[in-house]
Amino acid sequence: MLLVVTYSAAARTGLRNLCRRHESVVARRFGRAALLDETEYAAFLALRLRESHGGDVQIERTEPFNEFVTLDSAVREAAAAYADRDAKSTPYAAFAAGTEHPDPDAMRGSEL
Amino acid sequence: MTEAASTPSNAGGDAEGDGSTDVAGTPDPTAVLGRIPAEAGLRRQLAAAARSRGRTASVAGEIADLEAELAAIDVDPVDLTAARRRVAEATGETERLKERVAALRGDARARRAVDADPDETLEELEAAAAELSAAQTEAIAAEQALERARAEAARNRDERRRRLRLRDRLRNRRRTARRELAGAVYPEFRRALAAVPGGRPSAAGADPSAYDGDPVAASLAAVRIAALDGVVELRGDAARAVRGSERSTRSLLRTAEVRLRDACGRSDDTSGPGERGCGRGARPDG
Repeated sequence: MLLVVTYSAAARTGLRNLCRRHESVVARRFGRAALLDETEYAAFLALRLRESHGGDVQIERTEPFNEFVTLDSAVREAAAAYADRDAKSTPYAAFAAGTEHPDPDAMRGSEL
Repeated sequence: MTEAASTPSNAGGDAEGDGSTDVAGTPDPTAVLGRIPAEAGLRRQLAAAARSRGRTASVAGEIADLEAELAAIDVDPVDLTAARRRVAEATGETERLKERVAALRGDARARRAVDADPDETLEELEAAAAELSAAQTEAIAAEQALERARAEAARNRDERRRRLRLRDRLRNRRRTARRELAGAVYPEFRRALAAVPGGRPSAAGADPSAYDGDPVAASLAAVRIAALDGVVELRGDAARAVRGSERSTRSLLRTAEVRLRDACGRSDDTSGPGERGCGRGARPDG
């Protein structure tokens, strides 16, 4: 999908108007951002907004996230195990220390 | 159709906000009350009247701080167009050359299979492979350049986000200031309504949003309680209301310089007494 983020009041108003007028292309609306359909028309609308507001409009393309494709099982399992921990106050780094769960710094260093 | 642009588009090409355009500054009282009927809403008019008398809102200090903080923010334009185009071109070129290399390889194989001389094809293949390698190097360089530009843009956008928040807060505080200032002079405004043509103190209600009387009368009352430096110009209904009154403009509005412009198409300078009536004491619109 297309993620459109705005950085000025005028651009934010422009995005709000865009979403109101073209509801069918809007997947989700947030305060000053919106997710648009992945269609040429939605891209056209996003580009028009950027033409009007320049650097106050950021357009990104998002991908669906599939943890079974993107991640090793170790990361998924660590997330599940940590959510299920006994001591709620244990930070993850301490939780993972001395176990097979991945180290947070190691995960930071690995791109998806 | 829904195609018409609905936002005030930033005319003049470069849409990069410069920190001053997004939140209108506090207007000069004469700019708000200098022409009746007024464009601004009642609350703004009363706030301007209060300001003209030297009143300040409790949030004035905070507003000044926000303005100073905003003035210190300087964002560079963000434009990754060139970097994105370079990546697209480099990637396209790489794809094209990959296909060419594959085709030439096929050619060479086919020539060998029929015992034809593959040398010429192999030379072409070698040249294409060298080109491909150069194109791949360029594609990597282009990707890296885009990545750096994106990181730079992300920092820039942090700053834009901070600016947007400050502007939102500033707009908010300005609203608070207007509400406060308008509220402070509201009792006086209510009394002034009794003095101006068409004004009814009973229409005032508790605050500006509750006012349900004549808007021109409200503006005249706002002028009456203000201490304005500049000229106040009365047009249309406002001019007629004042002309129709028994009292002099000065005693109605308590403002030194008032100019009447109405359907006569003339402009009367009514700084002095005895000014009423179309075509008397008139002078061309200056």
